[in-house]
Amino acid sequence: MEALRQATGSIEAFLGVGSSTALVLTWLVILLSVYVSLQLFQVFSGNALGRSRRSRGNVTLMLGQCGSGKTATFFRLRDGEEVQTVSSLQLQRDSFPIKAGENPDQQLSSVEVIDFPGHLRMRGKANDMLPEARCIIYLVDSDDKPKLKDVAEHFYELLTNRDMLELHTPILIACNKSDLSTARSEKFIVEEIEREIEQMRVSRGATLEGQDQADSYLGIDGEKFKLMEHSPCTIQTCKISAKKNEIQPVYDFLIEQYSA
Amino acid sequence: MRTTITTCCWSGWQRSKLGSDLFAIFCRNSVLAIPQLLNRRSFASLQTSKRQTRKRMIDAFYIFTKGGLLLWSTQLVKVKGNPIDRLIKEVLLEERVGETFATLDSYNLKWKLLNEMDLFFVVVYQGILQMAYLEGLLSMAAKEFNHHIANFGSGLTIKHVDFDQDFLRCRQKADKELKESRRPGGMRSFADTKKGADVQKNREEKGLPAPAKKGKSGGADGDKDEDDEEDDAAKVAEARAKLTKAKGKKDGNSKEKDAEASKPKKGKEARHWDGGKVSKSLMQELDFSKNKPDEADLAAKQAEFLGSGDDEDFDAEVESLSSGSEAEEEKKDDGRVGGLFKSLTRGVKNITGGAVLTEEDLEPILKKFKTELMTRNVAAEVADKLSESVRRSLVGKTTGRFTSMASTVKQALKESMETLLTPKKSIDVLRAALAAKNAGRVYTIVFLGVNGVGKSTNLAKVAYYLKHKGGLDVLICACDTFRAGAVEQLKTHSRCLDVPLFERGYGKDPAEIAKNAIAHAKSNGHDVVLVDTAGRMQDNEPLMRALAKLVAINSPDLVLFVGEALVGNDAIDQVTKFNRSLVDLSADPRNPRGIDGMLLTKYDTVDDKVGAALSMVYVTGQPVVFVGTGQKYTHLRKMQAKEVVKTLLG
Repeated sequence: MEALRQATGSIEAFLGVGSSTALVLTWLVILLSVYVSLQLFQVFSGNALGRSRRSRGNVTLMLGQCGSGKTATFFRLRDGEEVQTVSSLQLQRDSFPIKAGENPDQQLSSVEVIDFPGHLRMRGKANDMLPEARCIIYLVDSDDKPKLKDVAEHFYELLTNRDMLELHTPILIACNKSDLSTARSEKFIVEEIEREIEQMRVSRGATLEGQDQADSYLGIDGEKFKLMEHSPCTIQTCKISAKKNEIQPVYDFLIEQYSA
Repeated sequence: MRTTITTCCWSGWQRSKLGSDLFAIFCRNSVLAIPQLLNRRSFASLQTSKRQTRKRMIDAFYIFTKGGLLLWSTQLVKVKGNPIDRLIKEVLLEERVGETFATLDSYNLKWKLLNEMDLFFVVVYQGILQMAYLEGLLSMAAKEFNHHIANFGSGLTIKHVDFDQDFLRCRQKADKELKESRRPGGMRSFADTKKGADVQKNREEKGLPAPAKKGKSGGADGDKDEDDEEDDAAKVAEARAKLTKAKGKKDGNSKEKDAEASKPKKGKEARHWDGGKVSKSLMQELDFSKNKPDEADLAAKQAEFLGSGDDEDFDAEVESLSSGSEAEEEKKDDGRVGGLFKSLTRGVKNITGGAVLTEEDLEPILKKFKTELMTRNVAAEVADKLSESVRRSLVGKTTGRFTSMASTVKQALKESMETLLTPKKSIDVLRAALAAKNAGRVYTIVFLGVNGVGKSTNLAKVAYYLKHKGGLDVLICACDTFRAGAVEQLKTHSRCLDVPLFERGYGKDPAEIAKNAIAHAKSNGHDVVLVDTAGRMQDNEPLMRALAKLVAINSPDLVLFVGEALVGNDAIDQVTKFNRSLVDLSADPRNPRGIDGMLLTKYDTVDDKVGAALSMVYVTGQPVVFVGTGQKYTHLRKMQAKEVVKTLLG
């Protein structure tokens, strides 16, 4: 208080203004200095500790190609029933409890899940939602081999995405439609994706004017690309079938992500 | 005796022959008649079945949400393929929601979007149906469905709705309405129409007598004639009176006209053909020079033709035409106080959010955005359709918290434009070329476009990109055999790039040259063939046919339409016509080849008027693969959708 009165007096004398104005000015100066110091502190603390100031959101993002079963799995997760679906035109988001088993620590009270359309045209919007995601469930149609090319391309884009590189969001590759007889195994799908990405490293690495080469590089130069080892995010795989209600691995993944 | 017998036999045989002939004829006719009888019976059954099919006019009906949930569907006839899937991927996601009608394969689809609930109602049918019937059916179904789910609550809780009974009711109602509308009605008379009513009203206001109505069911003919005559005369007199009314014409003239008008119809007068002396009276009678046009007459004639400028009938007509606008103005005057309050609430809600968007709100905002887009060189038609699509998707929605209506519209426009400009399939040319190389094929790219857009220059840029960044072996094929110096230009490029050139000089058939080039590449181990074609106008039929032949014969992997960024409204015409020519004359009609992608050139010459990209993408649905930004080989890049949208919307 003494210091305050002194400061007010000095400002009054210096500027030749009334006492009340001087008081207001003093307070303003104090607030300003506090604000500036806080900013500096934040900057320095961030740099010193070396961790990213940004943190992941709290949402589970369901991505995948058109027809891989995202909407069907969404409704299975939520209500446990089978639904008829058509291609989604816009996203669906809802919060609901997850029950993986009878054990109380195998249950979550509320998990927010977003089911995003798989159409390529919505890809830009999907990329905008990546910072919000706590984890990603990527559904793959195990039956559709030609589509794996597009899956690999999407993966390449995800793994070179700036937000993903910063946040290291874990991805679960869920090979859907495993109840079909022509469904491929997880190992096959992962190998196929790796092979396609290997090819893409050449084509994507060849950047045109205006693009940064470092931005689009994946893996280690000279070595063959391995999905599990070289990707910036932790990737797990599993086999599910939304039709037959065999989605236990998804529950386990979610429990693991949200309890951590 | 024998002769008798013979004759008897003979006659008997003749008769029997005759009889047999007759019998044969009878048999033949009956046999021929059987299919006719059967046909008639089957024709009758066909009629009934036709009647039945006519009842079952639509093929299928679907109700689904925007999020992808199929709430209800019915298939009255088995539907081949998956038209709904194609509808979503090819139409609804292409921002063509506003068109509400599409044809895919053999099916026609008409849909209705309920914005408040994010629901789509789609009816699938074949052949031709009345639009009014379909619209009625869709709106009735929408209303019924609304009632139905109002009980269930909202959101994602409903997954399947049992709508069968209600839908049957809707269909029956729609069918009934259709039948009633088909019944022919009587023709209205002029007085029953709106315009006639307006004219009548104006007449009454001005105090003019109503025109004498000619009775439709007249009496005896003779009476009718007399009435007609009197009516005609009265009408003429009336008209003349009006003509000469205001400007103070001489009474004598009007009287003269009245006298003329009221005189009964003169019969033909007999001519006097006297050979001898003509009497004075007769001379006077025959001297028509007496009736010289004098001043009074001249003035009368002028009045007759020029009019007094005060023709009430004419004014009444003109007023009835403009009465529409007058009525509007009156309405505005009446609701001024109420409108003020409404506008105040709207203004407040504009800031705080929570306003329900209506057509009147969206109209001025969208108009402003449309003109802004058009100043940025987006084609007028495309800007129109885009704003229509955004309008349809926003009507009935509520604005978010603290977002004004303008910003909501801007956000919706931005999203739809970004969606449009994001490619719907992979446009990684290098990757496709590498894949083809691995498969042992030759990857062919054809460059086509109108004159002077920069095909040869950008072909060289793509060759540089593929060779130096992809390490591929490129062969350039000079199929521009028309323009002077085209082959020399490509020779220069090939020397600079150190890339082989396949050329056969001028005047040859381009399709042949291309075929030979691809064969040459295959045998010599080249990976990619870039084919340069001559520029041509999209309206030039024979040249378009030649181009389509080139594409059909060689079936290239990528058909790139080269367009310049400077083009304005002509962009959509160019792209549509090129696409159509290629599709119409493609080799496999079931799998038509159109334009696969676009190359936008001279991008550096437009600063912010980058709208040509949007127009071309909207019209074809194909992505922009490359963008040429200068004269050097390195001035080639990929289009960034977000950047273009930011430039367009400011």
